[in-house]
Amino acid sequence: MDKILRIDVGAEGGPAFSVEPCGDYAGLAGRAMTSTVVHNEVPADCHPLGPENKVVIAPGMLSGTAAVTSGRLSVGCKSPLTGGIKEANAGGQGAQIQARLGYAAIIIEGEWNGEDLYKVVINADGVSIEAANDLKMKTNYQLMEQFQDQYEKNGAMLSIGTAGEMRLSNSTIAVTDREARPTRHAGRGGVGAVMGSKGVKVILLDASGSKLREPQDKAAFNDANKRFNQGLKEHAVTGQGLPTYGTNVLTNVLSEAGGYPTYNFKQGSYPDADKISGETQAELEIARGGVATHGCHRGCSIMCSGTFVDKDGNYVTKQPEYETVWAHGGNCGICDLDAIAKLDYLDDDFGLDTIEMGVTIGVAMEAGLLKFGDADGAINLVKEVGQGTPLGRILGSGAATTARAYGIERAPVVKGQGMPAYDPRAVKGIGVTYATSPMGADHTAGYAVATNILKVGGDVDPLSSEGQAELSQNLQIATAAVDSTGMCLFIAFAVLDQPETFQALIDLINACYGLSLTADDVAALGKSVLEKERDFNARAGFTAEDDRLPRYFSREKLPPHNVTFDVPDEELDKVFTW
Amino acid sequence: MQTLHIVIQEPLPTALLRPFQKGAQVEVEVGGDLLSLLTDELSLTEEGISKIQTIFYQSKPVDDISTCTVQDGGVLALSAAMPGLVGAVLRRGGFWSAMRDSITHQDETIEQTTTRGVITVKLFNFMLEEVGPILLERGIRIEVADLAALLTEKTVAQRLVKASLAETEVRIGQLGGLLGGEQTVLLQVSTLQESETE
Repeated sequence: MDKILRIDVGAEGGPAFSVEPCGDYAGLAGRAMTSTVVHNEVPADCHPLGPENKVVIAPGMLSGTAAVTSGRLSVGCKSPLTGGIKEANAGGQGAQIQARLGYAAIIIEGEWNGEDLYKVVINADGVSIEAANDLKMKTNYQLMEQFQDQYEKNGAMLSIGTAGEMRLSNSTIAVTDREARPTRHAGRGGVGAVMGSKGVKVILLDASGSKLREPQDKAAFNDANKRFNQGLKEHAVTGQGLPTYGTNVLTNVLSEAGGYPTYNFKQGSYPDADKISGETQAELEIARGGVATHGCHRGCSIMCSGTFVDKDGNYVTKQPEYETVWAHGGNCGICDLDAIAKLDYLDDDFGLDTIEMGVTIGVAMEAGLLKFGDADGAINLVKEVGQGTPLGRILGSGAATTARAYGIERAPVVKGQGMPAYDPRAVKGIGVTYATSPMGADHTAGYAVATNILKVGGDVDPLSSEGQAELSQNLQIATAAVDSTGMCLFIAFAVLDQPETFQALIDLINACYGLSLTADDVAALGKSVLEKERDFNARAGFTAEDDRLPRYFSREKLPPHNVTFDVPDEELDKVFTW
Repeated sequence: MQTLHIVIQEPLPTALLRPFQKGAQVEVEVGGDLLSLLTDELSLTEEGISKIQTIFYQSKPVDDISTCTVQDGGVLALSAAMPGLVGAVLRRGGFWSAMRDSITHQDETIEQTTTRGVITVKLFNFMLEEVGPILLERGIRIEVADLAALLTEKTVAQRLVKASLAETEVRIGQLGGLLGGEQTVLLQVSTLQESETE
């Protein structure tokens, strides 16, 4: 992974590419790579869909090696949804294949001619770019049908559906899974629209003829990998809970805690949670002959995913994740797993972020466009987005835009991005992260990753009121670091609880690169990523006033605990002081 | 309230555990602390309790089970360790518990004046199989309509060895008439290993 591929879609005579050494970007990967390139090369005040913006696609530090669960692919740009810097990452095969081909980053830049769509093919022999106007308004599954033969054995497809092509602010870049299906998405922030603004419809990666990346110290690497994998297997969450029930295991628990946003964040508990829970979902999948334990890419040892089939055993979609089941389920008052699976499939097919789409439909229900619980109505709305009807284009522009269009206040967004599946009034610490993350409201921006081990930001008294800001700070630093490794964030649970597993992760990186990093170095990496992201956003015009939740979260009490978000602004403003 | 005792051939169908997701009513000693309830009433060992990483009483996350009083009419929910930041935040006594301090169950002084009462128990994820069979054997109060739907499920009907109402063996088809105007029944479930049914 020692080179960068630049694709200039505005080159004279048509798109051209160049391959260059990593140079100043050497050693960077994942989110550290994408955010550094965007910080250094994209004018912060540019229009996200203008020629100055760039799409940066980067595998993690350990992607393409034999390290388990190292298949996250980061995508960075200036976000059309938030107006700030964005890193969205996805599982699937993409990171492993791109890393094996040796590209630390693919950077798509320049001014598109506004007419032609392009197909990019990258393999061991080189790169080709050709016009592919026959792909116009093709969905992701249609692209799979057309190109599956070319990538399913040793490759991956990165693509935008119709949403990205229409440059909607809610649009993803799809990454194919180990079954070659476009089920994994760099979902948040409208990264698909930016790829669409460059005219690139599909990137086909083929690693045939390439090998796994060799670590610098193979023996030490294998030993660390074994210890790391063992730590994942032994932990109750990564070794048992996630493989058995998937992430949707959280539905019952969050609803019971009163922190499950229901009916567009009106209440914290959903009476029909049991009908759409991970427990019910797993039971249904198994009874129908589906799969409840499955990895999203080869080499994943957690296997939190699955396959959802209909009552006749036919494939519908991958196992919908907790956030998806919540966004289209409890948030919209829909308690039908089959309807939710259909919505998940449509989101994947058109290239829509399931969280943003579900939050948007919740806002539309609040606005009276349809009733809470109307599953058929919700399905029709997603189809309108995918087809690009006038209403669909409003909805596809996200929850904030939809709320503006319908004149309602209750849009659960921060920096224009819809909130995920945890009400910040019940779990205030995550509200601090929603408010202050450079990414907008994001549940993965501050993860519980061993920050008590890292001690970033110093030791914290978790019982003090000031602790909320410091905890969020620590979480955001650690998350930025892990997002740069290419490791799935779900390793967090094992790393959090088992210091020896955290050490195994550090040992993996060191053995791979011949380094001698310490926990302090990892923390410093996380801080530097956040500093660049904050600096970009400041230059884009963001101020402390943007690091706030919508006012109604401080005013409206959330049943059943009747709590409001009352973390003082001064505390929020301390998150990034270190 | 009448008692319906059913015998099921192992393995216990998951359908019989499903009511616990929404909550099942059980009669227990109330007025004491939660630790005592788990050990004395549910017969859980120290190791069994250690697997219950996430506990809610009245929808509030509980950190210290020895300072939580279980009252008549209370709602108790038990779960294993949960994924995600919020999963870690909700874990009992976890490092991140401060992030949900406004909904945390506050410690109480336990009076330990106990009496019989009824609480609702919700079981999630692995707790369904860990604790569910214990509660089914003790007996849960269940609505007759819900019971009828449960017993006619294919996976349950196939494994049903026998059913007794007030210690008299009955056929499931007879239950509607036998229960008359009853709204709720106490359902007790015991299991037989395959070798015991041969």
